[in-house]
Amino acid sequence: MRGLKSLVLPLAMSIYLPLFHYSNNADILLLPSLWRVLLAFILIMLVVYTVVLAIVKRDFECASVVTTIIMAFFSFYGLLYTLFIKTDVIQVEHYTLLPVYLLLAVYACWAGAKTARQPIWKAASYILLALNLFNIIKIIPAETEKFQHTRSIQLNSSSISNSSSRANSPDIYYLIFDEAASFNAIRDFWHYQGIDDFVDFLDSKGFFIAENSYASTHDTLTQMSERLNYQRYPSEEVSKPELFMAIADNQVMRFLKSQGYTTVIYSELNYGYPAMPPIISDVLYEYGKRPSMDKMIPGGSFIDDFSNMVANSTLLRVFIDDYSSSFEPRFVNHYSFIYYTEEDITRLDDIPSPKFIYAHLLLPHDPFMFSENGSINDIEQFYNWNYYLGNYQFTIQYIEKIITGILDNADPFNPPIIIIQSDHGPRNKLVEDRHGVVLEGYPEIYKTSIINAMYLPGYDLSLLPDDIDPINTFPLIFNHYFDMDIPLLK
Amino acid sequence: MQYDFQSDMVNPNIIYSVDHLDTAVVNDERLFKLWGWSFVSDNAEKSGVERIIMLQSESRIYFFPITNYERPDLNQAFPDIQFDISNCGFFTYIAKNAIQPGTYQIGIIYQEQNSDETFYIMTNKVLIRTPNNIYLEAVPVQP
Repeated sequence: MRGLKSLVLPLAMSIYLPLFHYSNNADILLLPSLWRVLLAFILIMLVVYTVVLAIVKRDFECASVVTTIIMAFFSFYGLLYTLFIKTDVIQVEHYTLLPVYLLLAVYACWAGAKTARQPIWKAASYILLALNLFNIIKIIPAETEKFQHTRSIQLNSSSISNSSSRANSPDIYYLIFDEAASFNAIRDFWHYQGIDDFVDFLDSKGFFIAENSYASTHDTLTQMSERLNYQRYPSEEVSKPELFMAIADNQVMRFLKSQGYTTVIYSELNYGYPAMPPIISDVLYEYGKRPSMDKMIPGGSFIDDFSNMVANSTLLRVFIDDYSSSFEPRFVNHYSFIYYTEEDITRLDDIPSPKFIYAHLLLPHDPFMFSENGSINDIEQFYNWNYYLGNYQFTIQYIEKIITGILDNADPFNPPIIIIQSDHGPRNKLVEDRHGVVLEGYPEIYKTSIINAMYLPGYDLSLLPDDIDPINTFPLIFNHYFDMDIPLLK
Repeated sequence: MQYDFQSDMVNPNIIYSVDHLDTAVVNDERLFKLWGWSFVSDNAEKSGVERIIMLQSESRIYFFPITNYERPDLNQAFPDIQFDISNCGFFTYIAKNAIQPGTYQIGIIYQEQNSDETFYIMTNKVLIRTPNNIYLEAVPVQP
């Protein structure tokens, strides 16, 4: 009993950091990520406790306090290191900070052992328990909201059934290239005139290009919610779980299901938003998960983004700075997903038409993994915006291959609709903990300037303005091809 | 390496750009990598010419050898230049601990190995070394 009681303080210390990080990001994370990290921290704590208990000859109070101090020093090294780097007042390296830090830890353990029976440690228990309780209280509403939305999606999913398909309805390919700059931005800011070869390619295939198309925001979730539901989602009024829901169970796909379409999704949205629920569809290929026709196989790698974030705050930071490699599971999964999609999306003959294919790929979004010729950049440059253009050049070649593949395999008497868009333009965001580099003098306007090109067989393209609001993409298509009368938004 | 820089050694015909700074890991050491290009507009590049990057502050001066690399876009960007400038790209590695904190104007030195003729230009970029970082900035405009 005494032994168990003495575990309360180190346990409260060891779960604090994972709970703190999770509570601050609960709307985009999934609980399994938290369980894994909590388990790891508790195991570390138990090992430390057992060793310390043996050293202090089964003095439970002493072992409790010393273990707590060791866990505290373990948990906060990375945060302290980052603080020194950010304040940039004195030069700090692991080889200078770590010995001082470990010396302090030894001294703190010695002082803690001496004062183990003082009431201060009981007070520390209460404070840590209160902090943990505070984090848990922050987590509960986010988890409840996510659960409700997931449940609602499951109910909606089971209620959607295929209606009989209309004869000759065209297949529709909706291809989103995340963070792809508009052609104007590529010409004017990056001075890459080769973009006009790509524009000529699209022209030659019969695409309409809206060169002056702008997104209303530079937020992916808002943009995709708006375009898939043709309604506005004011970002200040809508929570992330609501936007997840709007994408996962969207108006466009509900309508197309009612028209007898088979829906196929290739999505990397869960790369940045692990809590993103699966999009209701007949076939779903998601980043980090094996493709399956009728159900998702849960899983993902043990070391996910959340584990990385927590580990970065701890003493493990010393090793992480040396470990980083392009073979991290997230990068390998991204690489595999990009090439899998390229291969698969043009060969969907086994899926009955009419079909709606929605692909959302993190290209040319960071990590800026690919160079112009498709070779893999040094991992040091994955968040360096000077490598964006190479990743973009790779992307336009990738788009060319996909378009060529789709059109080559298409029924000439019933050609498909193809929409190529970016959700928003390049945001030039700094990713500090990945040696990120941003562009100097980058104009704000390019953050919302997008690619918007459409292949619309039988559509009088002269009716289309070159500044189409992307929110009107599907109203334009549905009004023309399905005789709908959806009002266009301004 | 000793240089005695005189103002008449400045060659305004050096056309250049200091493009960007990023990092690279070389032999397990994280180094900064400075990228750019330069050529002398009134003179075809000679095989015996060496380019060197100079970092100059009020109290210190550092030199870094450069590595040439292909910039085929330069021939297109400068159609009036009558000779091949596609090999005028450069990069150089700079270790953080190799320079003291401070603000350094970046210069590009040309040294002709046969004649020992040396000329240079100070660029429009400065390299700033803080205790934990190095970054590039444009030379502040003088009031």
